[in-house]
Amino acid sequence: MNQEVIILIAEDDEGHALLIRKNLTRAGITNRIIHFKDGQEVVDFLFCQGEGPHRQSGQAYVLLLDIRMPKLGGVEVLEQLKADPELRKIPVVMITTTDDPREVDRCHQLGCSNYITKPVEYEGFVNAIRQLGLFLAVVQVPRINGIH
Amino acid sequence: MTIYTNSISVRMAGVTVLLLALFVLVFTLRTDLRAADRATELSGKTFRVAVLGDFPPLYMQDSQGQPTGFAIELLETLAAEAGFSIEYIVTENWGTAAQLIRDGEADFVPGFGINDYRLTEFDFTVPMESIPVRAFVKKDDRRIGTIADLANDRFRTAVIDEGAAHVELRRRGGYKLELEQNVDEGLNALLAGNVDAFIFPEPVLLQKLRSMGLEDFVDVVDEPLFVLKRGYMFRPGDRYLESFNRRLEELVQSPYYPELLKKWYGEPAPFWTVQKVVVYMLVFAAGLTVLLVIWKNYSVRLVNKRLRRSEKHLAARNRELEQLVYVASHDLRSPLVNVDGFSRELDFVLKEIGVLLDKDEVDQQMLERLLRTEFPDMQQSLERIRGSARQMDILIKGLLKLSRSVRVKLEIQPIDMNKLMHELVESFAYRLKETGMELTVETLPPCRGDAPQITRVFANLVDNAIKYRDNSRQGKINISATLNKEWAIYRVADNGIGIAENHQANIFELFHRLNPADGEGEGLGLTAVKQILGRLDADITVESQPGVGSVFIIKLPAIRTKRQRT
Repeated sequence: MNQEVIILIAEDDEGHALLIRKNLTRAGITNRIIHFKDGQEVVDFLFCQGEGPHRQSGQAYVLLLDIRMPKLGGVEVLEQLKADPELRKIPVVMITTTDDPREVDRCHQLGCSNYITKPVEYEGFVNAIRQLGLFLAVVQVPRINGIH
Repeated sequence: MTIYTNSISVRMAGVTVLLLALFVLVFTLRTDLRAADRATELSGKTFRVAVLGDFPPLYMQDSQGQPTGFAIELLETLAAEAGFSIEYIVTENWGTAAQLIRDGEADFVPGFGINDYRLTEFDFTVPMESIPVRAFVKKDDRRIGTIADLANDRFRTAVIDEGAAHVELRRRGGYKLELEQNVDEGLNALLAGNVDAFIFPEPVLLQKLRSMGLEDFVDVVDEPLFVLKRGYMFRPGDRYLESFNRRLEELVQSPYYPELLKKWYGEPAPFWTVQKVVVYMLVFAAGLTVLLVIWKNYSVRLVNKRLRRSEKHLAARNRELEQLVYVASHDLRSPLVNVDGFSRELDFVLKEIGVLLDKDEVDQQMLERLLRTEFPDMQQSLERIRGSARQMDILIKGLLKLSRSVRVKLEIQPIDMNKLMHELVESFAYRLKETGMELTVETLPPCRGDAPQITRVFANLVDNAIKYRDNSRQGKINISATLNKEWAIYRVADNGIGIAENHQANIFELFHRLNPADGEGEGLGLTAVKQILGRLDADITVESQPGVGSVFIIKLPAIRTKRQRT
């Protein structure tokens, strides 16, 4: 994948975030990763609001989004991104522990690019991340312009 | 012996002669009687009978203009039995009828009032009707008990002008008389209260009252003024008078007579006639049907309303439960992902170490390098596994706590919220002092609920207010309330850090914590609060502004002062 692309991980569970990083590395993806602890943080980053770090114009991002997070859940974050004419271009991969079909449907309707469940069984998890790596390798990641 | 015998035969002969004489006498007499009978025989005769055109029920005319009425029917019965025929002369009034008799234009009047005055001019048969003339008063007029009470000008008494009662009372004197032209006028005067009594032939007035449905408005004074008798009126010395007398006497005593009286003068109609029963039953059935339909609609609506309510309730509980299961499964799987993931990470390292150790000649340097680089990761992995186990323990304990609280039996009763809140404030006294916060409680209306559960609700809210205080200013908590028809609405307001609008919807969710990094709390408090209130038919909402504070609004069922519909 284009080394310029930055991977954003919104995941409240640090263990999960760490496992995702390790496995992405193992799958050969070495892009820069920024970790957010809840939905609000990633929204603040992308919409350039609040006191935390903000995104840069002209940069390409991919977002790995957990669904169940404090403050703002993943679905709400997805909703907000897809409502924005510029940010809606960002490929979003939902990562969650459940595979509730209604939830999967809802995320697809909202326009997520991919949906990965975190299996408890580790081979599955590694596989899922490997797939994610493949997905990230083939997807065209547009640059995101404009500053909010 | 012979002498005796002779004397006996002589006696016997004498007796025989005597008997014969007697027989002849009787026979002759009988022949005389028969001759007399033949002379007054009614059979085959034709009588000219003067009748009145309109004096019901005695004389009336049917739809063809033929005379009818009590006197007519009686006369015609008599005629049929005795075999005579009738030629009617219909006249206007008693005077003209009497004149017809006087002039010999009619033979008799079949029903004419008998009085001393008329007896001097005419002959009458035995009475063919006897009518008591009585005083009528308004219902329950206890002032007048007898005719004598009317004397001495004490009461106004209505009589028919020149009627029998008028004549009689005028003769007696001492009565304040109001003269009426006919029965309707008299009755009106009595019912309108213009007179105190009305004197009239009883059966005629009773029939009138019954026909007008007024029998319940009038009482009859016991003893009659007199009894009006009517008989057949003839010219004096009429030879048929005796024959009519006999026939009439027989007829009046026969069972036919009362039947005829009843027919023309009527008798109290039984209240429950078949028609009336049918009509009343129909009305009753219709009323009942209407009532049943209304009742059915009402009860169906009521049941439906209750059903809808419990359905809504159940749906809400179901959603809550679904949410709970979803959240629980999600949150319980989360640490499992970590346990599995990090033990695999450990496994990787152990496998690498295994490969090195399996070699014939162990490369101590490589082994040491590997151990040194992987050691922190291994430590971290173990730490994460143990942390996940702890996290699961907390979650499971929380779930158990929540399910236990649902199982607690509720005792719904009126609650003195002032007392409850006073005790609650006492229990928070130390923490309030420690944090330097100020808690004020206004006068609160009572509500209905389970005291320990409601204490838990408010304890949780106060606890949250303390936990999420804004350290940059003096912390304040205020508890107030308002009351409307059905709800006691309590407000727990603080000036803490507040909750952003887009986070407000999530705060009641199971295990949802806005700032997990704060360490405190298990994410159960508000979920439990919501669950408790759900069981108490109550509700909680939040209004908040970050940096200003939060208000939690709790709606509990008010105590009903009056009966109210649910």
